[in-house]
Amino acid sequence: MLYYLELEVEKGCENMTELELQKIYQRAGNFFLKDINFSMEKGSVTALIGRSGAGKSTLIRLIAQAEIPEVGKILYEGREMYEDEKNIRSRLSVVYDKPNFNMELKAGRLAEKIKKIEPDFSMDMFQKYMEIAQLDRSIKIKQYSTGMQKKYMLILALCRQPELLLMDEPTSAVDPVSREEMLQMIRDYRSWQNVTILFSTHNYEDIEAIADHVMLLRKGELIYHQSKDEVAKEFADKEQILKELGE
Amino acid sequence: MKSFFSISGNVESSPLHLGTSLLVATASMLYINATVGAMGGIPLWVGMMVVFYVIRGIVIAGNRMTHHLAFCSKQEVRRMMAAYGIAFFAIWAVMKILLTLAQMLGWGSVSGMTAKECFDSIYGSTLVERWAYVFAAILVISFVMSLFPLIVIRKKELWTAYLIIDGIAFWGISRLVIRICDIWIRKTDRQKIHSVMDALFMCVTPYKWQAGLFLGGAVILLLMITGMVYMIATHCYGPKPGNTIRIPEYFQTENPKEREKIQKEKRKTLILVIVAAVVLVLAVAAFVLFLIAGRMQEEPSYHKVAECLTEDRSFGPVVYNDQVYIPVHCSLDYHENEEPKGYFAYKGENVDSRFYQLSIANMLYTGENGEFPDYLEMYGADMNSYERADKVEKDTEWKNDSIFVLWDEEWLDETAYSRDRTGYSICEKGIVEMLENEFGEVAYRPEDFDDYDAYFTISGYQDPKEAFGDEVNCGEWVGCILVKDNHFYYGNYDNAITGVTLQELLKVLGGNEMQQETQS
Repeated sequence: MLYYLELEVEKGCENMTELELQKIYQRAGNFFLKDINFSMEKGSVTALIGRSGAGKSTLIRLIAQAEIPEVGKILYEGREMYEDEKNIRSRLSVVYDKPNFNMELKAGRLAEKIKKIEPDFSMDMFQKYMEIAQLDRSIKIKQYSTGMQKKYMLILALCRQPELLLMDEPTSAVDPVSREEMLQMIRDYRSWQNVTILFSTHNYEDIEAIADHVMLLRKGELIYHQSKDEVAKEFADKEQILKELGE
Repeated sequence: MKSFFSISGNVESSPLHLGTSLLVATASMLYINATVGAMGGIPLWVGMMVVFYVIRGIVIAGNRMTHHLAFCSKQEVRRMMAAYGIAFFAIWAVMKILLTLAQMLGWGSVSGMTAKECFDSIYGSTLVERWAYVFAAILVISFVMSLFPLIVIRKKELWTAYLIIDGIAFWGISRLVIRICDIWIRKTDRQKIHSVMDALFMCVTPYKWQAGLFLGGAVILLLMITGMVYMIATHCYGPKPGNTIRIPEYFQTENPKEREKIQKEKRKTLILVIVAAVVLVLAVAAFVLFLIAGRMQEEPSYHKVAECLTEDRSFGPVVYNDQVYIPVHCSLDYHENEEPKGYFAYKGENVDSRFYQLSIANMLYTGENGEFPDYLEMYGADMNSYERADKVEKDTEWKNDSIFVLWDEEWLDETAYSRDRTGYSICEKGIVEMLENEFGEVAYRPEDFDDYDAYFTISGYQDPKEAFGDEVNCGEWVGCILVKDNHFYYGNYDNAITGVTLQELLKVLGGNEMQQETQS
């Protein structure tokens, strides 16, 4: 009986870990991502910081499986992508630094097309977030400004109702009002969905607004991964964090 | 397919990707020309170039559908394969149609053709020719599908290896097809074969089941290749188990100099791979050019130099150098010592198709090199002899004949479809004499045969067996009758047949309406 209880506890603990990276190595030209190991608890929000070229985007692309790591394992709720790809993909949304879908389509049309293939895509949420973001669904995506495209990408990602959300600098090149709208959408989504979020940023306000953990990458190596409070203790002042952020 | 193109994002537009697409498209075109023959050309190049550039561009840009959808890689590969196959086929077909239109409009080497003529000139006018094109088209699509994994393979070494192995495998398949065709090809004809198309043309299939068997085999091959390619592509494209044990050497050193050294080694390997790929394509190109050059030397190119003026392939006149020649019953042997002057075509026959040139070509031989030789010999699939019309007209051998036959232009076809001999009328010697006395020696002009409504040959025989025996015998040439706008002419449009001669002639022809009209 005790044995079964232990198993249940162990299984429960396993399920608490949404994402785990083991010994990740990746090379792109002269850039190296080296021995990355970390895990993220379910429902946690982690900000990935580091100067340009530190490896933030590469790390997010690896987790999204847009690139395959040369060495290492990436576990999603304890399973690798090849073990249950369809299910993992259905729970994972990615917001890249630039759009990677057909921008010739009208915003509403693309959402409808996605809905046709993916029934879980929520058109109600799409409608609601488009209104919050003040985006016109009847114009082509390529006619949106960079900031509007970022908001649109976030909306598409959220409407898939993900349990794991990866975002590569979601608020860069976005005006303060739009940034607040985006953060509001994320907070709103978190209020009813226990989503795990990993996002890269150069913006301290983003960390303050939504993150509860911070991960620092420097020259392809993971320097630390701690809670936001511990980071505040470690760095004497905000200036030091901004320096790491590259601001 | 629709969802793949409508959702997927932008295409990678690096010069390297453009170069790779050019390499694949050009190599495919040359390769198909060398192995299948006749089906590799601009449409194939354009199809491969567009499809490969766009779809691989989407893949290497990392714009996967799976980033937006609850898809697995297998589902994505299926959509990608459908997009690849259908888009290639559509572009290929559109390009073929555009080229046909270009030819019809006179942009190509063949101008002013109707759509049917143009289609026939490319794909042959008989089913025997067309089935070979259908077979070859399925083979080409199989080859194009077999290249699909090149869309998803990202490692350069693996990519090059796949290209080489696929090329060798497909070469093996094309050789196998030629081997199978050999069963039905005469030994003496085997040396003419350079590609699958040549073998198919030479392999004359008298039975539908043989053509059906070939086509069925091609479809099975296509399905097998598609299935195999799908398995390879899903393996390459899909996620794989992670590795936490084998850590490459370049990750294990902190020393920048050592890293640089490792990088240099890697760069060297990459350059070698690229050079090998370029050398391979150049080698294929050189091989194909060598084959084509060899073929050109082996097979001198001929043009049509003589043609039948009527549909009557046995008794009708022919034209050579604007001079009319008449069939004569004698055997010539110019072909044993002379070089052919060119193709000797039946009326409207397409001599440009490879099928004609390999299987059914008739060549023209003359015994003398003058512009208007006395005799012509047709030698090839058929054998006939001809004499210059002005010489024949001077000849009065027919006066010794007792039986005269008025041959309908299509008597041969009519006879073929009937148990009874049809397509001819026996006429009295008196009518022949009336015509000859009235018009004498007739000067035949090729242009008079361009737009007649009906045509008849009058031949003379001494013995009924000569005329109606099993062997086709053209007898002694007397003359011919042209009908145009309900008027009858003897040999040319200056010689209108009228009066009693016409009435007698119409009786022979069994004419009724025309007779009444003439009387009125």
